[in-house]
Amino acid sequence: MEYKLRASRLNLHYGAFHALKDVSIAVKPQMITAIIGPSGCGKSTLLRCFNRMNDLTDGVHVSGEIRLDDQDIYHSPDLPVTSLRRRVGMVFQRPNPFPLSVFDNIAYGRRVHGLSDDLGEVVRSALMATRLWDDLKDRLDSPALDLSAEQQQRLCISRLVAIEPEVLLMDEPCSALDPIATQHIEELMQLLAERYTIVIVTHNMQQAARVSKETAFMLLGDLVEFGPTTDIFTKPRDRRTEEYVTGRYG
Amino acid sequence: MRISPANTQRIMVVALWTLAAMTVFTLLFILGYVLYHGLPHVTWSFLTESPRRMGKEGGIFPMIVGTAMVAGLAVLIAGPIGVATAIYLTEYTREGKITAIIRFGADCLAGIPSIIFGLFGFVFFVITLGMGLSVMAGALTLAIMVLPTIIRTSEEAIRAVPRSFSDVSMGLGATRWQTVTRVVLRSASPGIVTGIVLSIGRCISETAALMLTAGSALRMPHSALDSCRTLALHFYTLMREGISPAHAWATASVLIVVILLINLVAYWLMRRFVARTV
Repeated sequence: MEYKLRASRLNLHYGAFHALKDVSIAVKPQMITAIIGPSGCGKSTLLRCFNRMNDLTDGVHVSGEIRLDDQDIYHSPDLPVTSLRRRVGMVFQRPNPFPLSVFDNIAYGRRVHGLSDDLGEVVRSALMATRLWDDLKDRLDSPALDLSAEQQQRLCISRLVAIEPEVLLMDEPCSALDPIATQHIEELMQLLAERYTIVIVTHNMQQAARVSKETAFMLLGDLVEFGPTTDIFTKPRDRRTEEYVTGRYG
Repeated sequence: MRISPANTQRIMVVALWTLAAMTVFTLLFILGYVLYHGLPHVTWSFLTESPRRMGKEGGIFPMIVGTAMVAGLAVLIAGPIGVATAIYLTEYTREGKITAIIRFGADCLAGIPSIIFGLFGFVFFVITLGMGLSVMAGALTLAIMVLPTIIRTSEEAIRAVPRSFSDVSMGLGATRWQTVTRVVLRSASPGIVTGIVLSIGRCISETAALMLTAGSALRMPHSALDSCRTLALHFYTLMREGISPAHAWATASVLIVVILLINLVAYWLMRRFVARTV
């Protein structure tokens, strides 16, 4: 089995705090991998390593290696961080459209990469990909902030899809949504997993169990256990994983 | 005797209302007083003619042009420098000694009385650089004077832009500069524009610093190296030398109306920006 993203012996220090300890994980292509664990376990930090968003935070020091396909994302001269982030995009916890129109939100990524041809078609297919087209085709010029929370989060996914990434990193993408909207976004993720490699961080264990093929459990900066989702939830090898998935702490 | 909470509430509502009303009343009183004395003398020819007999007769057209040149040039110089400094401080550097020094410098600059800027401008621009009493010397002096305001207001406006906007932009692979120009400045522009407009207002009303740098020529300034007299300085001269109180009040009326107009334009611009982006 080939791997899309692979972290090897990844260590991350945030000032004096050792946030990721020797983490190794291999993410397979075109399926959903979930990272679960209690607050502060380092799951979001790990996710943010995959497209080097941690570089933007002061005092972060990373060692170890992450490879996208076969390229080292931190050290390859032919993979500058802007190209990396085009290939590995991120959906954030809160829906965060720009205060621009629906159209300009989706066109934003294309424009910064100098791909301004056929924007109309790009916007249309990006909205189709997230099942927003029918709702929004007549409202492309209206402000994105007028949309409902679920529509905003779909729009953020469309904005990402528009730059044709290979990997979607999702950092608790449903935590600001109600249960119905959460269900819709989960269905969307399943759909997107046919084309994209998806890594989702979630504090919601049921969500991980529902959507992912493989699950990693993290605790205090350690990757405790990583394997097929069904195994993690039904026959965990590690006692700490078992305690967490059965709700003993977290 | 104790006053019941309900009565305290009533008393305080009246007291606060009165104090707030006093602010507005003071403003209206000053406006009304100046306009009452000045407006009757503001005619079309007053606005479009050159002064005669030291300003006793004729109009203030050269002063209007001079004021526009000095204020416009000052903001043209200070605006880009100030906004660039604010961008550097907020987006391109980490908080540390250097940012602290720059901020402390800007704050100190803001606290210096304008006559001192005038003295500096006189010694440095007028004498040392040989600009003479001129629009340019005045504008450069004012530029230094309003720089702290522009830096601080721009910095606050940029800081008020949600962090998530730049995270998303960078997350989509935009460079820092693309993020700054396409997302951050766009959202911060109402605040930045407000700071710049406030600075234009300060430039227009400044007197002391210009006395020593732009001079007080009555002629029409034809280039940035000509001396000129701004409206505020014209008002001061007419009043101080007892040349013509009527024309002094008329000049003051024009000054006040211009500043009111600038503020109105600023509000209109801001509302338009806010309406468009949100």
